[in-house]
Amino acid sequence: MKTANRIAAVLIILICLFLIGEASKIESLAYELISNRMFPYMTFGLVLALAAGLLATTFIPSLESPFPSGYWARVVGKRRLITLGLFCVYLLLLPVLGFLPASFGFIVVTTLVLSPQRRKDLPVALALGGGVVGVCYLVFVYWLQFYMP
Amino acid sequence: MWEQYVTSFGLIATPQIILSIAAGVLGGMFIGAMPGLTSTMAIALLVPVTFGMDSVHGLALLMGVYCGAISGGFVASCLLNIPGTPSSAATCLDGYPMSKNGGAPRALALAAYSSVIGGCLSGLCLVIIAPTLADFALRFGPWEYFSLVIFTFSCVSSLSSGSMLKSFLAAGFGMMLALVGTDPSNGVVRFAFGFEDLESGFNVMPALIGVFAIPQLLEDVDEIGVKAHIIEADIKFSDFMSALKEIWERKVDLVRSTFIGIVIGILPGVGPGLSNVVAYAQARTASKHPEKFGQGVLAEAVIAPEAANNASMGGAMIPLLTLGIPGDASTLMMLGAFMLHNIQPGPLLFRDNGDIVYSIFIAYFIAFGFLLVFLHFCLKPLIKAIVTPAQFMIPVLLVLCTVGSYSLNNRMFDVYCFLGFGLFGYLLRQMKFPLLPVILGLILGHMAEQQLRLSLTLGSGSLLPFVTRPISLVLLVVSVVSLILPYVMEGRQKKRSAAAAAADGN
Repeated sequence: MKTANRIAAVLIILICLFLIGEASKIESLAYELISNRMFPYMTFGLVLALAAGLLATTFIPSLESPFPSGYWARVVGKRRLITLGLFCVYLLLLPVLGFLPASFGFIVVTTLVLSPQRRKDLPVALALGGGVVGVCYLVFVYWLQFYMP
Repeated sequence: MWEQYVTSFGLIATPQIILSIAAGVLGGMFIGAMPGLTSTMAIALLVPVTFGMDSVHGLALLMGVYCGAISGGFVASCLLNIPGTPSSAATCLDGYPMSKNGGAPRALALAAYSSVIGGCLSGLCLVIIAPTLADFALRFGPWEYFSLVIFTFSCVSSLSSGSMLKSFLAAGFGMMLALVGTDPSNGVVRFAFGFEDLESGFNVMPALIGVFAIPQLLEDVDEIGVKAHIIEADIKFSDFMSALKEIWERKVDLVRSTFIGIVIGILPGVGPGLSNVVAYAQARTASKHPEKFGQGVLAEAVIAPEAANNASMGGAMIPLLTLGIPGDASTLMMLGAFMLHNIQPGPLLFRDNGDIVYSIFIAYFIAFGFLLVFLHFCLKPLIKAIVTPAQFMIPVLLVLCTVGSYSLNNRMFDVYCFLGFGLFGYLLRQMKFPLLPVILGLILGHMAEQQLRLSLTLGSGSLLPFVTRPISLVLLVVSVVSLILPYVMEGRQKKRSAAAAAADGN
């Protein structure tokens, strides 16, 4: 599956071309001996060249694919996506509900969703959620005097 | 120098700091022992907590975590055949068979003492080499610093596993991300795309935590429900004594592995993850009974990787403290912690913040002292901890990372950056891009830009000083050699294999 590398290379090239265009808009200062656009141009140019190299390697027939069969199915596996989805929901709810209920809810729900034995793990999940949230609150708010979301 | 040590000892010898180091070692040991959780993760979780502490206290705590986490990895290697951290990968090869054959206490005791001795010896090297190298680095100008960045990237790319092209690309991504925000030399805002929060650029810590934690935790999800078969180990004090005797009988192996660990630790981008494998291979080459490696019989097969991985710690601290260049992902986290406390590692650190540097040295040895004690008394709970189900660990660690990212600036933007960098890291890791160069690029990008512009300004736009100044030239030549060398060695290896195959055919 060289397609993944090919898509990545093309995407990187397009991003670099866009960023080179953006770099040309950087406000230039007359008193500077070395232009402040020089380093961004250099960086994007280098990445562009490397991406072109990566693209070229995908056309070499003798090179083996670095991705075994079934690899991408695992990358977007159900459990991984569910965990990520729950985490995104948690981050969205964090400013709305506040740290204590949102974090407690996230720990309990995620543990139970991921657990192979939900009924058995429920008391542990509740204790863990309460314990972690409590300890975090004590350490960050009382001891270190940080703010919580 | 001795006055500095006395002053620093005065700073560190408070009950709070000593207790923090002890807690750091213990916490690090538990995190390091759990398969899938690395020393990098351990430091990442604790860095935000140190934000509210003074520099000496915070960095001493992190030294404890670092020592504990690197050492804790051998428990899972010996008893589960799964390395707790990548730095204990080679320990599985003989530690697990040794445990399986009824020698679990022997394997654990050998690994424990080798870890402590290797770490302490590399600490001595750190104490001796670092001030000398820092003195030498005072001669560096912007040309040398820029060449040093080039050297770091070439080292990371040539030594990291996988495609060199992808390593360089990953470093390029990091440098691109470093360009976002206000140009430090003239205050012009660039690549912020109208977002006010982006004008100050990306905060390094949420990026670091995100890139290393989220991909790891998402991959750990696959381990849920997999039953771990742990070997029982009833370790007694007499086991430790006989292990010490065995290590003394194999002191040559111990010293060789420690040396390998220190040298590999000093090289940017690689650390304990590589040193343990190299030390194991060298121990096998030097052994009178190489055929017995992998059978769990020889003590040196456990001593070598464990001494080397801990020795890499002191080695990796040398370029971090003297040049501001991290040796591996864990020291990269340490660099983030330094930056969080407004301390810039580099040659001037020894002159301007000598008390902090010497406090770190002292904390390093105190941490190993605690490690020795905890390895005697806490191995049983550690063995129980390594089979903690992943469904409990993953949400807790995600919450801790979130709190840590938020607490740095009290803004949700950093939490979203943590998630964004995490997803970016996950995507890159699945595409087989190494992650270390991304963060190196993000951190060193600013340094590269400033030093390049300064050197060109001082040289009136000329690039010639990069090759006329000896140190800069040497760094650039070594960079080129480090890029070519792997290909040359691969070609030689192929020739040798072809010649051997031809000889077999005849």
